Amino acid sequence: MIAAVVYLLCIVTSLLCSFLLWRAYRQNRLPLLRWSALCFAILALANALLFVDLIIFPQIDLLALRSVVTLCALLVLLYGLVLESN
Amino acid sequence: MLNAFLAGAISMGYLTAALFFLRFWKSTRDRLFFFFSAAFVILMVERIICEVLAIKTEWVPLIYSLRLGAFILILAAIVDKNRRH
Amino acid sequence: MPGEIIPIELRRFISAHFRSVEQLEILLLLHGKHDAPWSIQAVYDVILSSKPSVERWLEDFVRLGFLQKTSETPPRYLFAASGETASLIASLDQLYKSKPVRIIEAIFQRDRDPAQSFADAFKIKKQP
Repeated sequence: MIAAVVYLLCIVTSLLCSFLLWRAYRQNRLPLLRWSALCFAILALANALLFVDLIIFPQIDLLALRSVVTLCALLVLLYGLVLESN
Repeated sequence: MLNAFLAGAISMGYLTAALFFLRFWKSTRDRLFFFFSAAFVILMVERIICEVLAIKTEWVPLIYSLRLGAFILILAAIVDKNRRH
Repeated sequence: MPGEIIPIELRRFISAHFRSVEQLEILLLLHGKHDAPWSIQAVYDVILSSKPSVERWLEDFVRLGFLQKTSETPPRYLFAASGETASLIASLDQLYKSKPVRIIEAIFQRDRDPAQSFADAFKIKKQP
């Protein structure tokens, strides 16, 4: 039960970050903000998958899929950080 | 095998992002980056613990409390940012 | 604040495309005299920065569609923007003549720094 609340909070926080970064991106068009917004959106998806995995379909193991999604989120963020942060 | 590889790659990803945030903290003196950096380090630790202890589910208190800690740090960063201005 | 003098569309245009005064001067030079194509040397003779960087900005503007490359060897460039872009560049030219400091400030505005903008994105209340 507590875990469900925690992972729900993770989804909401990720979405909030993504929304704020995207809003700022629309104002100043800095690519770093676009990549970061995308990263947090994908992290929200990874957390949502966790929710699905643990609560809705506990019989199916989505660990590998979730890891791939999380890794994608990080690669997007790192791409932005490495190429667009100066 | 695949999961271990992915866990390793993800940990490295979190660490690299944390180091970037640390650099931004130095260059802008904006505390938000310190919080973000700390959050990403916790997320890295969570991944490593998960893998090392061979925990197959995130249903374990140790794991979800780390995740909670990381996201509370991110929320704290946002709250702090808005209280300062 | 620069925002009061520079219209918002122009401010966005500046922050999307301009990183240096050199680059701005090059575009405005070709905008001002667009009856004949310019060689890199001719642009350099006015701007006096360095030929490779002059060439780099010229090529950059060609990519953006602001300039047109009229010949390859030797490369020559002609102002080619039209429509909304052309009118933005025209008002940029005018403002740069009357209020150069404001335009330069807009180029080097705080929100050009990606790290600072990342942090500022988390301010929930919109900036004035």
